[in-house]
Amino acid sequence: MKELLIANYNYVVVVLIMMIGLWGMLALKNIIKKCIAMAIFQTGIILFYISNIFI
Amino acid sequence: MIWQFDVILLTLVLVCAVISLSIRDLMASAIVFGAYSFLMCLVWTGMGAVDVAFTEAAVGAGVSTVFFVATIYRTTRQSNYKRKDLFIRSFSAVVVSVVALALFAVIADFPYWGDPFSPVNDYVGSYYITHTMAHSNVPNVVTSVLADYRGFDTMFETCVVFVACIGIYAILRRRKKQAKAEDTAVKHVAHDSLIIRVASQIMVPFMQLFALYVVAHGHHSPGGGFQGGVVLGASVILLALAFNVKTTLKYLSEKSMIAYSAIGVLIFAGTGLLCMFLGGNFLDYSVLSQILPYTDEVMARSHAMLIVEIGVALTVMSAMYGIYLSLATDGHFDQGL
Repeated sequence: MKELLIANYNYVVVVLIMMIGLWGMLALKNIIKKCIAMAIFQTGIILFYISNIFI
Repeated sequence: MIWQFDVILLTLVLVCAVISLSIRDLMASAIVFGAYSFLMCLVWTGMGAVDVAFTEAAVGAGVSTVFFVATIYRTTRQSNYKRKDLFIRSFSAVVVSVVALALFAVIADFPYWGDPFSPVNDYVGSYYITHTMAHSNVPNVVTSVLADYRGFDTMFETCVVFVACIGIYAILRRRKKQAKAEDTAVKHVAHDSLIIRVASQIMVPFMQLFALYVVAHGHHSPGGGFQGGVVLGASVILLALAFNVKTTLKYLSEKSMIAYSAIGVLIFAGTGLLCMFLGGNFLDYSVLSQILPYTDEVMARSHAMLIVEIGVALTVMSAMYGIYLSLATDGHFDQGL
């Protein structure tokens, strides 16, 4: 169980970060907050790419 | 990477993301986002993606924080919250959690973190890693993929930066006549600090030297056109922050800012076109050995990457500068923060 969690922890965080960003873009009215949320979403996607290729 | 570090850093990243979206004060929100970017940059460095981490440190934590601060200075610092916002917040929370559940369901299908035999590592990636030295004599595989094998992507990425700069400039630029009517209250507040001015005067030459090193040495060590261009742009923005916009406009005027960002794209696309005229494909650098003296086909690809990176650096540098000027001076291009 512990090994499975470590092996997939990056992907769990990727999903959480992307969803935080998506929620921010949908729900927040302030445009600066929306921009920050978009940047957070983007870093989540890049984290996904890098977690895939990491050896 | 040691997995304990990974877990701790990623947890901190999550905390920073939540905090930066939930703080009411926008300035604090921008600063926490800068911290988020730096933590993310540590995670990526740990996983060996130094080039991406470099970009994130320069763009995410450095320049975009400055952009946010410039915008907040020109607008308002508080984000207000009304009772009726609660409905859209909870509704989008429901939508987002449905998407999250769907994504969590497929997590188990991904290759394990650190699995050397994952599908991404098997096919095209291993081809690039084994063939880069023979094809282009460039030790940094990232740069050779970016500027050579995937040259089209990078060319249009440069175009995106250029278009973003031109778009922001075209929307925010205001004529002088309108400028007189308003803004008298904001204009004459001078934030002069001798310490900041002297310190930034000392720092700027070293920053620019480092940026040139990053551009010129990009295919042997982490770095390249985007990273070097952002650091170069940040050095000019630092001058504009410490003194005012008039000082930097003396060195890099509005017209030359636009011109440089266009010239950068021209250098990149022109290199590709030149390859076509010499009988190769678009962006097939090996045919450039016909006109570059003392180079064979392998070294021609290496040198052409440098040329292309210089173009990218020019565009990125002047685009960062132009976006900063448009935001910080409210489109007037006179005083600055």
